[in-house]
Amino acid sequence: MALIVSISQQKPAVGAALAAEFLKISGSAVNWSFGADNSLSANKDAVFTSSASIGRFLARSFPASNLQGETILEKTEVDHWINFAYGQLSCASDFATAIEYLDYVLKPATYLVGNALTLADFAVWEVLQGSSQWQRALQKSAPQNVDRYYKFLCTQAPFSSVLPNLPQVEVKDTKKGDAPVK
Amino acid sequence: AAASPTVGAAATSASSDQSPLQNGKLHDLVISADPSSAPLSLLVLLKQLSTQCQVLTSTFVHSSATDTPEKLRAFLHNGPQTGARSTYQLAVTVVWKKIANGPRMMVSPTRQTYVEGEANIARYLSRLLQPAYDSSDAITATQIDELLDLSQQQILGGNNKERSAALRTLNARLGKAQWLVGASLSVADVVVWSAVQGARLGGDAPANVKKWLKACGENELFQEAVKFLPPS
Repeated sequence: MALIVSISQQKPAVGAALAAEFLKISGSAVNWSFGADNSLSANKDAVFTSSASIGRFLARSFPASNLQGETILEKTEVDHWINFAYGQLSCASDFATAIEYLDYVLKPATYLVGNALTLADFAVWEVLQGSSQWQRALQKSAPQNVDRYYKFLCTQAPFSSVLPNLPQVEVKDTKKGDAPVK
Repeated sequence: AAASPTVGAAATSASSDQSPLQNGKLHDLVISADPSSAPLSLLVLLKQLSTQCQVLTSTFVHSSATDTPEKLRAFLHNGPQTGARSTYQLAVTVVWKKIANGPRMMVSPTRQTYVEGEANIARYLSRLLQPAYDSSDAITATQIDELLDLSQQQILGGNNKERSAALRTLNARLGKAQWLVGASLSVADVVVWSAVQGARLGGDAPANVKKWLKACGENELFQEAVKFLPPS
């Protein structure tokens, strides 16, 4: 029986959608579609609703995908990046420091953990994509390693198929006194 | 006779997951932590690990943290260490240091990456304890992760409002069950206990949480950790 994932149209758990799409493309028994909310029912008592939990449950259900990483150290590094993405990187006041750290780590790397896509990339890409601070940085000058990493992922499956379906991110200008542009 | 207490799920199931803990090879973990927030969960999990393998422990004080209290200078202490390093499988070193975002663990210095946060260090130790941590029961492991994330983001990293919400969530869960996930003590209990105590939320916690804190504190595995509880 296929696992069914619902992704909210308004507030999509993008990382979860990416994990579901990745597994679907690779032939795993996962289906996802846009719906009223973000959810995956594992059984009648266990329903997961956050991007991190849906992603983790999917990755564990299909361990051959290595979406959690391969070794126990890689798995724990993936957890580190999930916390980083939904913690520091999601916090407006920590954003600059978080991007600087991310840029440093990505200097020699294509992916955040190991040599393949993991939940870590899905979580960090989700937060970057949905961040008006990041979208603004992309238009001006973004730190080069994060810039390369983000744009590379945008062209790859599953990102390229999920991206066109995501809500438009408003690129707000934070300068005070500016009238909202209509 | 009563079974010895275990943290985590049942006995290791058949799995291809490889543990780095092997005879004749010392697995080295270095954990830097700020003396203002001691990772008490580490003591509980190491107690558990020491029933499975020989653990070599030590504590150092970095020059940035010379004000580390005397008590914490003996955070990880061993009895007289007998035998050569080669008779141990795991070496854990705590370095007290001034750092901003919670404890950091370095497993493989050549890779130059670190794992940050008490919850994530606990995840690593749980995987050492039980290599099939992720694969044996996907639902339970993911439910445990939700509580570990709650400890990290809402209790340790949260403001007062988020902390109150977290305590209400815990209280509701503990109204229906004795432990946070499943029928027995899990790493979720260990890490959330440490976070609630570290944030000094025990005194004003709702009734079910208070009862659960007491049950954790009385558990055999917590006996070393309770010695380092901050004064309430």
